[in-house]
Amino acid sequence: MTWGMTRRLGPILVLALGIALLLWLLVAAPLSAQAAPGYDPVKMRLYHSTLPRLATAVIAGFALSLAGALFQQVLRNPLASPTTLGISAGAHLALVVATLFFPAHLGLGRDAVALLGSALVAGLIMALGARRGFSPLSLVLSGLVVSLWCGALAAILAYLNDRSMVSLFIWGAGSLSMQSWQIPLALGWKVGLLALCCLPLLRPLSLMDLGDGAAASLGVRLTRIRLAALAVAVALSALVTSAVGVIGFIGLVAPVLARLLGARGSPVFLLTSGLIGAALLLVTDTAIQLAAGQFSDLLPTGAITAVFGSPLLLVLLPRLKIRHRVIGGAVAPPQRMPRFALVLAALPLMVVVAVLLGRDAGGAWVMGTEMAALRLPRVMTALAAGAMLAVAGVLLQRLTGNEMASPEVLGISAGATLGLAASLFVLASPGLPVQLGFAGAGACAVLAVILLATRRTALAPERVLLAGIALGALVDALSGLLAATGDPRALALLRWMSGSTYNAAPGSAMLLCAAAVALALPALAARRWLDLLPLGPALAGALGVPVGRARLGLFALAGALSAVATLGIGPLSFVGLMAPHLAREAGLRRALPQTVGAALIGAALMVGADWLGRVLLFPWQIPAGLVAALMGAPFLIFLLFRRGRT
Amino acid sequence: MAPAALLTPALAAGAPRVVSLDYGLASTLLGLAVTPVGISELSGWRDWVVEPAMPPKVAELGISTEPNLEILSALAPDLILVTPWLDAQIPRLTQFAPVLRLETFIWTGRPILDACIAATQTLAARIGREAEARHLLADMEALFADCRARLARHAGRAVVLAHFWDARHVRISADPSLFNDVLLRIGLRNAWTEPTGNWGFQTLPVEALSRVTDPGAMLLVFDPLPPGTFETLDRSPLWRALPLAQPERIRRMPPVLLLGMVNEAMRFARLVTEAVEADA
Amino acid sequence: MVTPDEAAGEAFRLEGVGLTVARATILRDVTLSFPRARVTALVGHNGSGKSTLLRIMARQVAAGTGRVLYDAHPVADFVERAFAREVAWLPQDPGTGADLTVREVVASGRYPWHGPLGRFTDADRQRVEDALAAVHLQGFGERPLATLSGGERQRAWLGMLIAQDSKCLLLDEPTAALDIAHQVEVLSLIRRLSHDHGLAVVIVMHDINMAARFCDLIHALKAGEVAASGPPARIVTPEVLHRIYGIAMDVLVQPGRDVPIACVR
Repeated sequence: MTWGMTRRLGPILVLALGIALLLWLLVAAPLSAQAAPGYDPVKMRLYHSTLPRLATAVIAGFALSLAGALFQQVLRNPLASPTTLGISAGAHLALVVATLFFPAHLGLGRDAVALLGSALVAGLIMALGARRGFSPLSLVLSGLVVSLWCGALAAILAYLNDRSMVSLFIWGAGSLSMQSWQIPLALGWKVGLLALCCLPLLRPLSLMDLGDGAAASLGVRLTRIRLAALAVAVALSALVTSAVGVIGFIGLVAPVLARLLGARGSPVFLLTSGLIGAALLLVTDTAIQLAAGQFSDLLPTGAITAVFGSPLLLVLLPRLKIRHRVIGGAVAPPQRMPRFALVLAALPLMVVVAVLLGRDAGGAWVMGTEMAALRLPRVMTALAAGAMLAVAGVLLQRLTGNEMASPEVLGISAGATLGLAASLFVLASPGLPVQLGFAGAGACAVLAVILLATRRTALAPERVLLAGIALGALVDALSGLLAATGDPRALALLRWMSGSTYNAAPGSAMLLCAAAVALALPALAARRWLDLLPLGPALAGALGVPVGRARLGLFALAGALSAVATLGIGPLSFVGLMAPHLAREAGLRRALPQTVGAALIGAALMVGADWLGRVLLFPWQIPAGLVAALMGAPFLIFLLFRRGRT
Repeated sequence: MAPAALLTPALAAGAPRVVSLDYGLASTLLGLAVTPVGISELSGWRDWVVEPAMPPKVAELGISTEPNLEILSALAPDLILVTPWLDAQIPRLTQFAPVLRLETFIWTGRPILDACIAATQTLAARIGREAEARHLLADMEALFADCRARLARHAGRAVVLAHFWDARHVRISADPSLFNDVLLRIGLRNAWTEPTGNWGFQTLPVEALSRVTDPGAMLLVFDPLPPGTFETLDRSPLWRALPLAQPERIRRMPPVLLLGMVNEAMRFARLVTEAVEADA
Repeated sequence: MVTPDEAAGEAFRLEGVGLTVARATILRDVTLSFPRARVTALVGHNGSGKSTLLRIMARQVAAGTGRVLYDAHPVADFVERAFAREVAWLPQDPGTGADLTVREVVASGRYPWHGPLGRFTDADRQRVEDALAAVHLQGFGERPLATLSGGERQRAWLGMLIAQDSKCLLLDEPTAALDIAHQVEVLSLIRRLSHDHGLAVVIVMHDINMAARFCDLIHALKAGEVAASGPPARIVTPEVLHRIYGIAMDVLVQPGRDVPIACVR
């Protein structure tokens, strides 16, 4: 036996032994137990709960990993998977919407609803990807953004229906608990059928490894094969999500392991991925079942695989070839005065409306200054947070040369969320200052981790971005795990994540405004760097910009801006993404006017979102962050489509 | 505690304008013959609390964790009632009116029912309704005694208190909770003895119900029940074989507020007594 | 093999420069001199290390061994802007300039002079206009760079380098994207700048004949080592070309001019 074979077989043997051991631990005791006469709960649990659960783990793991391998094969993208492309999140959001609004019809149509959601997201991501030449990073970046957005929207929908939210979270966190063979049997034949559909695709997929041109000249119908393979992959992941909920990152991990073990060529790669995925989920779930015996609380499998799987994105980063992409393509229109005037006028107008116009207890519209003292702190908080996020967005987009960059995407917001979660679960009942302190510490920690993790790659912007979004996914998984346990503290976390200005007090609002000014000034002072850095690090460096130090400083500044803003308005606004683009649309292309314009626009957007949130469902209040996010997502999609066209 | 010294003239005059940010406290207010001027989540009252009915003209304040401050200031209340759950909001709320923080459903080392009784008395003293409180608590004691007598035949019978999230997951109420304390008072006991957190309930996969070994235990399934739950469960051999899930041992119950106070304890006692009593 | 041009002085001097990346030797013991007021070509086969050598001179890559001197000082001793005032570098593919206009791209060349906070003076403005005129792009100032043709774009980048007003230009295949007419135009412009203003110019080139036609000096690399160095007449000979490229070539002399022309035998 050669060394190479040993190296490949070694891990497989270890895995097999591990599975055997865990299964033995789980099954041996109930099997050897004395059969009780009549009803025997131990044997019933074994035959109708434990065993179907194990079967489901094997089937779901196989299906998700096969789907991931198909995605990776067709898209030539080592980061593609049902999770990273947002396919699972799409299915989950569709199921949540159906559960909340059409509960009576869900029974039969679960699969259809999940398929619809998955297919919508898949279609969207693929359409975007096609326009950008299926660039691995932009595909995964947009996939993860869509995924985070779907997850957030599902969470918020659940929050607005807080008393029935736990059931929604259980699906989001992917529980594998079973009481019959119904689910594994139903899932089993569907997955088997879809796996058979892969057979005729194997040879064409192998040929496509040669490159599109070569494959086409050999008679492969590229588009048809691609579409068929993607359809199978989407269907596989949708069916799993419909049956047991979102099982995060298995579909990414298994194909990566298959590659590391040296699986070459489509048939071997697909099969190995599927088998490894089945084994992995089986091991994970068995371990969870054994552990759950100790804690007796619900430990959702999907959230746990996501917690362990999402850091893998960070490990995979160095394997990706990334080159600096330069903003370009679409040409901004020349400066137009009317639009610029609009930018200047929007903010004061919005502030006046937000402070003076409201509704009374009966719901009638009232204009006046009576409530100004109550509204002003919220308006100021929204204003400062919006401006800071916008400036952070300008900085990040110029630093990374990537129009998708924003504080939300960088993961700073996610860090703040994690900090807040820690404060809620570590301390009995933390006051507001303590909560904010923890959130700030979390934001700073994420920033530090990102800077350290990407230090060796000299802060290559795309890596920073993906590192940030991987952390965001991790935080998402953790908070999903917390929420699914039904602990009421999860509610407080959700409330904060939805980005409300409710807690704004005059003092904190003033402080936030002061911070906005103090942090925006250095950004304005760095305008020349910001003009030159989009040319790329090489050129900017050749012109005498101290690229390393400038990037470090500006990243830190962007981090500080987003951390402070996140404390004010929560992690999910997308204003940091929208405002810089709107400023460019208004003809403000150079760093200085764009920064100022974006700050004004961001502030106006956030003030507007806060006002809408306060009056739309009066006296119920929709958090400003949610309103902004609901506007931000379609904008994001529009942006990706428009960018791709040129 | 020196409640009288804290009273504003309006409160003393007998027309207290009280806002409640908790269903249980709002229900207790009604029990003390005081109609709150505003409560949070008024729109869900009929689904989750059911009784006592909330009189009309009570203002809706929105979600309890973020009550609408504009309405709150327009209501100009004399007193705002909160639980420790809203601790983070208390400094804020104090700007609008004095805040009374009452420990009800959160485990602080004494039985939840005792905490609710104490909270009722504190509240009554604060708004000058001690007589009504005595009546309410006496009614409760009488009801418990009555229930206990009616259930004499079933004394010590075990019940499982279940809220289904979906066909695979269930929330079980156990110790420490208001429901658990009431069960003991009316002569029943909780079949679920595994420790839960400080909140008195835990979310579990349905097969965990097979860990209930008590041969006579009844399964009380509280509304709201997600559509199709029992249809799905009835196709599960595990569920069909589960002694606890046999038709004669399973009861569908109307909704009762899980984190309530005295009124909810009485509603719970009455409904559980009716359900168990009817059992042969 | 070092032949410093005594008359004009020496801009760059490389002493035993080597670079090894992941056990692969990219450059080994390169010792070369680059004179002022002269156009020096760096030629060699694909992967010979000529672009890497240029990037080492531009401080984009640090040399593994040896010394890189500019004006007799190690290049690492210069602070960023001071170096940019001395040495301008243009990568092979400078991109489409974010979404800047031609004038803004050219004006970027003034950064080493005004820095992050200094004022953009009338003198700076004049330099930008002069640079635009030098590359014949006066009418294109407000056009976004991305909308220009490849040749116009290349000229705009050269305009940036001219506006940068440095004493040395490092160019990585600046004519690769251009047709033959534009190649001649750009190389003539570069040669004029070098000879009239005393600039040291280093150009990485593929076309040995263009190098012979427009450059004063040719340094040839082979597999990371110096293969030949000298004026065109000494390099463009069948023996030396065989040493550099490893194939047999003939050399003709262009009728009416004293320029050698190489062609594959």
